[in-house]
Amino acid sequence: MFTVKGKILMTVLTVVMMFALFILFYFPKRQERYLLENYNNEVENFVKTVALGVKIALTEQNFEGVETAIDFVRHDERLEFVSLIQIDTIKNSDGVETKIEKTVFKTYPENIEVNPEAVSNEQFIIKHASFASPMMNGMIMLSFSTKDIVKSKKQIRLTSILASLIVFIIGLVIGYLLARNISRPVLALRDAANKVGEGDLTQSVKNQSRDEIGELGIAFNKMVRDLSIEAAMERVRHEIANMRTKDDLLSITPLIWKELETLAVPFFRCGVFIIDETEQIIQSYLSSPDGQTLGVFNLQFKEDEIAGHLVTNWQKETIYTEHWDKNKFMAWMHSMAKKGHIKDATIYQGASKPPESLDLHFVPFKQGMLYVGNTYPLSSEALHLVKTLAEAFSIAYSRYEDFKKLEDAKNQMEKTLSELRSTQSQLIQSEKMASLGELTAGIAHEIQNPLNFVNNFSELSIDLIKEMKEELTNGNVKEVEDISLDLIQNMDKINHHGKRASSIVKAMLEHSRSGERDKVLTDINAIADEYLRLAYHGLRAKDKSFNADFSSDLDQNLSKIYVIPQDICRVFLNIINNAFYEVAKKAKEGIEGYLPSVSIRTKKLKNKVEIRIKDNGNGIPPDVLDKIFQPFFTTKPTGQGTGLGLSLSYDIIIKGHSGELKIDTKVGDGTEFIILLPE
Amino acid sequence: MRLETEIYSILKLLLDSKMKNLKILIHKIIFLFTLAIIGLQPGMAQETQLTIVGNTQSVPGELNMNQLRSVLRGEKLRWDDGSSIKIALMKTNTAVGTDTCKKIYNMTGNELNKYFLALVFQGKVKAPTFFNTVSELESYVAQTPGAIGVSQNSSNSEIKIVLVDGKNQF
Repeated sequence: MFTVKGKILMTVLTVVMMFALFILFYFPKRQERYLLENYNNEVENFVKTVALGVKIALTEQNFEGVETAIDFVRHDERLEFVSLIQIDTIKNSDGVETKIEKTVFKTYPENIEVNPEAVSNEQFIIKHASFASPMMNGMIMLSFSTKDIVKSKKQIRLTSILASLIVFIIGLVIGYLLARNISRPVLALRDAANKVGEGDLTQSVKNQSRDEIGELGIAFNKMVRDLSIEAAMERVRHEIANMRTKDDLLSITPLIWKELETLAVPFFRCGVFIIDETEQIIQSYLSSPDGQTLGVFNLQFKEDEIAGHLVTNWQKETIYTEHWDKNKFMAWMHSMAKKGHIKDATIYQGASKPPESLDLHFVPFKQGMLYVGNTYPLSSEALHLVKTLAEAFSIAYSRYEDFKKLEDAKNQMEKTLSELRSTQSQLIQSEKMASLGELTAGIAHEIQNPLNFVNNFSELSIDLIKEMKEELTNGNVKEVEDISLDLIQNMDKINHHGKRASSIVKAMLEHSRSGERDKVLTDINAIADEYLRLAYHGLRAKDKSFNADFSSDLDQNLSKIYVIPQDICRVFLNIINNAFYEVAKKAKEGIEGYLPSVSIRTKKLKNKVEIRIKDNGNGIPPDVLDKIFQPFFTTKPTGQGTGLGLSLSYDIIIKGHSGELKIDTKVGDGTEFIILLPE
Repeated sequence: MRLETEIYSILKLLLDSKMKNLKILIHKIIFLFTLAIIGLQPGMAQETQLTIVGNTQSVPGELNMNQLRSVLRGEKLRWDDGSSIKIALMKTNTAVGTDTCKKIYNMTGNELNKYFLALVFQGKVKAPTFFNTVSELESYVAQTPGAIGVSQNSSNSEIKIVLVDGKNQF
């Protein structure tokens, strides 16, 4: 791969080579042709001059011209001959045909034999010029040797070889110097760029030329400087973005210190002042002269002269500067120490002696002032860098403040969520209690039934035992045996109904219990039938006038499925209660011939169990249907429902059992809830 | 030469014709003589007396005809003192020029021109300078060292008369 230097050198050499070849070949040819043309023209001019001279000599007897011309020509080393040819027109004896006769009148040199018809060749150039005079017509023939031309050609060739060689050498030297002058700064730029790419932002290139490469160097240095500044800003933003607590803020001053050093801002003290207008305090973060944090202390707005200036200039968004001598510095330091803001004055001073001179610079940003202290005032360029740093700090600090607000909001929301969850649990428990409460009468009725059986059969059994005792006394063994059979039957009945009452109580206990429950194999038919009757009797207990027909159509092929029985019971109870409520409501409308009825049907489907709870109430309007499963939505009057029944039922079926809960309703005709549970 | 030829023809006519056209003849004779007097035909002018003039420097005061011819023909290129000879002649269309051609060169004007042209061509001699008037010629001779010319009845004090065969005119 060719380097820049190589390419430049090749380019220059190519141009120089072309020029050298031009000088070597084309130029000599052109020169030779030009030379030959000039020579021909010269000879032509000579011969014309001689011819003119001869004509003038013959017509005007003025031989000066021809003398001069002949002299000039004769002394020319190139002359081969000059000849005066007399041309006569010879007529034949008839005077008709003519013949041109050319006779050599005179030739110089005399010993040369001249052929009037001779023409130019490689060795000689022969030119003719005619003249006419009353005395004689003729032409001058002038022959010049081309030896000089040949010699000149050789000289031209040699000169062109030398010239092309010189041009080539000069071109080579210039090309080398040019390539070096261009490639050196370019290579320096490349090396610097590579190092910048590796992360070293301290790179810069020397600018020794005022051309485009010099400008490129200046632009590169500016770019690296800008990158360095941006990197410093990014570090500030990143560091502050990671700050979460007030303790983290203590590392602000070392951070600012480090970036001021990176930006090559002259300083020996720095700090940050966060101004809180609400609390009227200034949180002051200062550094020691070695860059360590001196902690944070709060200044009141009116506590100190400098605090007042800080606030005023911050509000105006102007840079504030102040010059302190040693005494002023000492006075302020002692003042702060006395107020307890500075714990250790020696550490704050940072050296055995206080500074002789301190120029304080306070640069405003959104939340406060960035402080830089130096032994002399900072230049406008340095202040600009400090301002840029302050802006980056401001943005990052804003994010910290936003984060703090977000965190507080998050904590508040978590607290609220916890309260809501607690409330939800309470509501659900209330719902359970409410449904449980509604069951109470039904449960009482249901329990009363078996208890009645227990009581009745117990009483009967007592009578039978008394009778058996009499028969035993009488010795009627057969009667005793018959009575004992009856007794056994009665005991079975008592046991059965007793268990039934026990299971009802157990179910209610489970119903009211909260917490995680496992899925167990459950007889859907049993709980469907049981809860239909429980709900009916519960409502009848509440309202003696309530009357409705209820029926069940249970698929005997239904096998037990894994469900959480308490939850399924709750679902059945909710839906059945709603069904009875609707039919009771419709019955109160006094529609003639209306017989309220609620039915429950189970059916075994392929891999599913279908439970349909149907009523012939008023149906559900479409606008209500859309919201029916929403929590706290109810069409019942206030105080009569929590609005959580169907919402909980939906969650139990869909989320808890991966089932389906559909509604088939027609306004005026009634509603059917279809529950599908997977086997 | 034409005049002589004409006279010869007249005499012949006189002898042959036996006075046949005497009137015509007399008119012809009168006509010819009249022409001769007026001098209209070129070359028919009366012969002039030629005088050889020379520059006061270098040019000898006396030459013989052969020497003169040698000088004027370009055969002698330098005077005895080594200075170059410069010839001044009247143009051949003048009376002096015509006589000069006849008496000295024994050539016609054209032949003289060709003669000198040939010599100039060969670089053997510097061609004479031809003048239209005697005064111009004599003025040139007076101002040009080594100059010799053929003039007529010169009375110019700035130039010298070169005697030819002891005569100042011929």
